[in-house]
Amino acid sequence: MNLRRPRLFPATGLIAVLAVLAVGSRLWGNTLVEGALTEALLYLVLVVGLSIFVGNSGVVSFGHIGFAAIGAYASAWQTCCTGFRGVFMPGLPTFLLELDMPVVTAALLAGLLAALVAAVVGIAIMRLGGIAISIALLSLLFIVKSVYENWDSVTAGQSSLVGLPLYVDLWVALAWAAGAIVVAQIYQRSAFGLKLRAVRDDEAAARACGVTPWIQRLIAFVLSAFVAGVGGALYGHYLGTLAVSIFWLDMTFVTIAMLVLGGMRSLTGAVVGTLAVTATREILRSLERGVDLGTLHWQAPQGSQEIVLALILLGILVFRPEGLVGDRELGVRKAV
Amino acid sequence: MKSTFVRSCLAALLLAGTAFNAHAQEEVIVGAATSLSGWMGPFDKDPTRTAELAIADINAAGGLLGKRLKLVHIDTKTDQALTSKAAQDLVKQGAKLLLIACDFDSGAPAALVGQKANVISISSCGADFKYGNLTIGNNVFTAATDAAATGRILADWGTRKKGWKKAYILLDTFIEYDKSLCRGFKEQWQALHGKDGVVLEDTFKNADVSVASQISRYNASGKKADVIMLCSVPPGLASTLRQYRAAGIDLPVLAGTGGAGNALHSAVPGLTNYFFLNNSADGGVTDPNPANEEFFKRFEKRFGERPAVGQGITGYTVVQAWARAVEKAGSFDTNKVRAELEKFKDEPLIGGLTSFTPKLHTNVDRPMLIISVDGNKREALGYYDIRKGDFVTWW
Repeated sequence: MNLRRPRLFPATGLIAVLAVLAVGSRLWGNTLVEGALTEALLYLVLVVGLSIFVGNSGVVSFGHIGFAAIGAYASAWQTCCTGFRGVFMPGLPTFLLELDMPVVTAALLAGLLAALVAAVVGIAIMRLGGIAISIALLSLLFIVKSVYENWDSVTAGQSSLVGLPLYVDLWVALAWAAGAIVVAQIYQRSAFGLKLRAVRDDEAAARACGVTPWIQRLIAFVLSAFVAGVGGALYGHYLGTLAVSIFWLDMTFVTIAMLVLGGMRSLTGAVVGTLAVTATREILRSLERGVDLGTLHWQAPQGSQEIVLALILLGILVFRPEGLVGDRELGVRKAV
Repeated sequence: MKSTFVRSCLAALLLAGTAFNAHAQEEVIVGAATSLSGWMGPFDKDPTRTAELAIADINAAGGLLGKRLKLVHIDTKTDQALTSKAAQDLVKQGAKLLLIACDFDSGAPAALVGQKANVISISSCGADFKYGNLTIGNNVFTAATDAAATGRILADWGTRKKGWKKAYILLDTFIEYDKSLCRGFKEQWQALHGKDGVVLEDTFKNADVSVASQISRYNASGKKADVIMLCSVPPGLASTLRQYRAAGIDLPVLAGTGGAGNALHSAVPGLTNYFFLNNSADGGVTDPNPANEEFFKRFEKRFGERPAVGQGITGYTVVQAWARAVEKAGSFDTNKVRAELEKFKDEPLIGGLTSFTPKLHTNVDRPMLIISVDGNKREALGYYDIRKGDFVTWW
C-alpha cells in the first residue's frame, strides 16, 4: 500500500464532500433537505461507530444501538430538563440532579459511559467466535432495553423524557460526523486496526503472528461503543425528547442497512450507504406525502417507503453483496 | 401624456402586486402532526378527520378574521423523529396552530418544536397531566379531560348515583393513563368513603394471558366489593373482563375512556353491568347533546361512518377552541391567542365544556358522558358534572 499519499484519505475527502453538501443545502434554503441532511449526519455518527467494529472485525453487531441508548440517557442525566429533572428521574443521585454540564462535555462523558459498559461486557463477549458474538450483542441490546424501560426512577421507564436542550443543528452534526470519521480513520490506520483486519481475514495466521484476537476485537469494540454512545447522545438532543423505544430494532436495522448497502468493509462505504439510504427514505417519504405534476396530484400509497427500501436492500444484497463501494476507499487506489 | 400612462401602468402593477400579496396572505395554515399508521394510528385518525371538518365549517362560515384556513397534515407514523420533523416542517410553512398526538410521549416532540417557535400546539385527546401542567411550556394545551379527573368523576358518579360503597381497584400498569385514572378514582373514593372504602387493590399487565391469580386473590380476601374499578385498555381490558365474568364475578365494572369502542363489546359477548365514560358518544350510541348528534350526522355524511370512539370529536374541539380564541383576540398573534385560551371558563365547544387557566392547560372538571352497557346494548346515561354531583345539560 502506498502509505505516503493516502494518509489523509479517505477522511479529508469524505469530510470535504459532507461539508460541500451541508453548505449546498444551506444555500439552497430548502429546509426539508437541510433537515434530512442533519439527520443523515447524525446517523452517520452511529454508522461510523458501528463500522469501526464491524468493518475491521468482520463481525456484524446487532447491539450497538444499545450503546446509543446508554449514551443518550447519560447525556440526558447531565443536561436534561432544568427544573424538571427530579420530576422525571427522581432516582438520580444528588450530584447528577444538580449538575449543569456543558453539552459537549456531556456528549463526551456519555460516550465514555457507553465505552465503559462495552469494556466490561466485551471482556466476556469478545472471546466468543464470529456469529456467537453477533447473537450475544443482540442479547445485549435486549438487556439494555429491558433495564432502561423498567428502571423507572432513573430513565422514566416507558414514558418519554422531554426537554433535552435542542442544540444539534446542521453544523453541530457535521462537526461530530467529521470527528467520528477522523477517529475511525486513525484507528483504521493504526497498528490495532491492521491487527484486527488480519484477524478478520485469517484468524489462524494472525494468531501465528502473535496477535490475540479477543483483545484486538475488544479495542475496536470499546472505541466503536464510544462513538455510538456519542451518536445516541446527539440524536437525543436533536429530537429534544427521549424514549427507550427509539433505540430499538428499527434503528438497529436502518444503521446496519446503511452499512451493508454502502460496503461493510470501508469507511467510504459507511458514508455512501448513510447518504443513499437517507436520500431514498426522504424521496419516498415526500412521494407518500404527494407530489404535484402540473395539475395532477400523485401520491404514493402509505407504507411504500418501507417496502421500496427493503426491495432496494434486497437488490443490493443479491447483485452487489459487497455493497455499493465494496472495500474501496475514496481517494485511495485499491489496497493490495 | 406618455409619462402619465407609464405612471398609471406602474401604479396598476403595484396595485396588482399588493392585491396578489393580500390574496396569498389570506390563507392561514393549521398543521396536523398526527399518525395514520403505527399504534397511534387508531387514536389519531378520527381527531384528524374531525379537525378537517372544523376547518371546513369555519371556511364555510366565511373564514377566521376574514382569512381562509387550510389544514396541512403530515403523517408522523408513530415515530418520534418523524413527529419532530413534521412539526418543524409545519412551523416553517407558517402554521399558526399545531394539532398534536393523542398521547403525550408521541406528541411531545411536536409540542417542543411548537414551544420553541412560539406556536400554539393542542393535543386532541392526550389526557396525560404532562400535557396540561406546562411541562413543555405555556404554548401547549390539550382538549382532553385529564386522566385523573376522569377517575374522580367515575368515583363521584358511582357513589352519588349508584350508591356503591366498597370498591375493588384493579390496575393495568401498561400505560400512564391507567395509572392516573386509578389514582384519581382512589383519591375521590377515599375522600367520600374513607380509607376502608377501597376493599382491595391489585395490579396486572396488559399482556398477561391469565388474571387467574388476581381473581383468586379477590375471592380469597373474603371482602365483598360493590364495584370494580378496572383501569385498563384493550386488548388486556377485554380479556380481563371476560375472565372475571367467566369466574362468576358479575359486579358492576367501571372503566375510563380506554374502555370504549365497539371492539371491546364484541370481544366480551353479553357484556352486562359495565360502565365507562367519554367526551361524547361512541359510534352507535345516541348522544344526549343535540349539537354532538348533529355533528355526527355531518361526520357520517363526509366519511361514511361515525367516529369509532367518543374521543374522536376532540380534534374538532382543538380547532374550535383555537379559532374562538383568535376571534376574541382579534389576531393570530400567539401571545394574544394564548391569553384568550387561558380565559376559557366552561366554554361550550363541540366535545364538551372547556376551561383553561394560566396554570392549567387541561380540563379537570369538565362534565363527561357516562355510558352503560347491558346485554351488549349501549346507552348514554348523561353528562355527569362532578362540581354539581349530578347530570347536567348546558345546551
